[in-house]
Amino acid sequence: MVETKSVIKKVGFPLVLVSMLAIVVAEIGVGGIVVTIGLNIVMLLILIQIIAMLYGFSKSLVIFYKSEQHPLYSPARIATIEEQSES
Amino acid sequence: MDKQVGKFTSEQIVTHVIIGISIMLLFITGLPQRYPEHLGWMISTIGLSKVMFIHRLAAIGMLSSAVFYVINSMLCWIFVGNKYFKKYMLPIFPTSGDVSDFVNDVSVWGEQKTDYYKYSWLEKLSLWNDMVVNWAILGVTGIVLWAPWLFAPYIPVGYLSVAKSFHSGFAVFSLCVVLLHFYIVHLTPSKFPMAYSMFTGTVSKEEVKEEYPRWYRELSGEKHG
Repeated sequence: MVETKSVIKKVGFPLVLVSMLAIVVAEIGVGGIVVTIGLNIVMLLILIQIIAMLYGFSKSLVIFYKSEQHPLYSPARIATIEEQSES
Repeated sequence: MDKQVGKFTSEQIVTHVIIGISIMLLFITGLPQRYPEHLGWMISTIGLSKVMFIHRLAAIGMLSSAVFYVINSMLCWIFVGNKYFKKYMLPIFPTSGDVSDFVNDVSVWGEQKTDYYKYSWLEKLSLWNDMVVNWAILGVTGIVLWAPWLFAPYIPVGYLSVAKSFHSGFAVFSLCVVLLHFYIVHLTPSKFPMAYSMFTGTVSKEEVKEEYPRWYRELSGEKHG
């Protein structure tokens, strides 16, 4: 996991920077294969975000459902904790 | 397990999911129309009529999320009172501190920790981009372009092409902000593969201490620094 994170640190920022530069260059009116690749990376990033959104939402619903099914689950206890954190 | 702190309401979570999915669909179907020479493969694969159908369907989703969020926030403010406003609405307004946070982040990127409150300037930028650019500008110009015959008697024809330029131009700006958002919630090493707080509505106290020190100090009862 630590290795993955270091890769992400090296790749993440340049990836977003390249895609944003591709948009800027395409807006200027410059064409070419590099711009096409950059814009297709943008489309890929957007697609990943849709998948992440659906995954995150369904995962949180599953967690919510499981916590309600837990034998120690008590709505009164949750309400008390929420009340304490509100104050 | 770490103690969790509430950051988002369930209404904000639902609005975020709807607006997120709709705006991504809007980008996926809108970008090939903006750059047909680079992304024309999509239109030729799916067909322009289907692309436009998905684009308009997603636009309805985005605008309905806007209506829901605005009405819900106003009702909460009216019925719950200033406590709701102070806890969930006030922190999203830009302050002069955001400018200094931005300057600090840009000048010493990654070297010095910025003393964020509940939301960083980048999070606020994403949110206000949604409200001002996506909901207001893209929403209004999109409606005009969707049904130009409705507006033709009231506005000069030349304004329709202005609306088109505004629509696609601001969409590109919005896309750049969304890409920055992608970076902070997916590609930041501490968040990879994704930040779940927008779905659970909570963040751990450890994370608050690490990333939002000023908010943490307020939660622990310390004075603002």
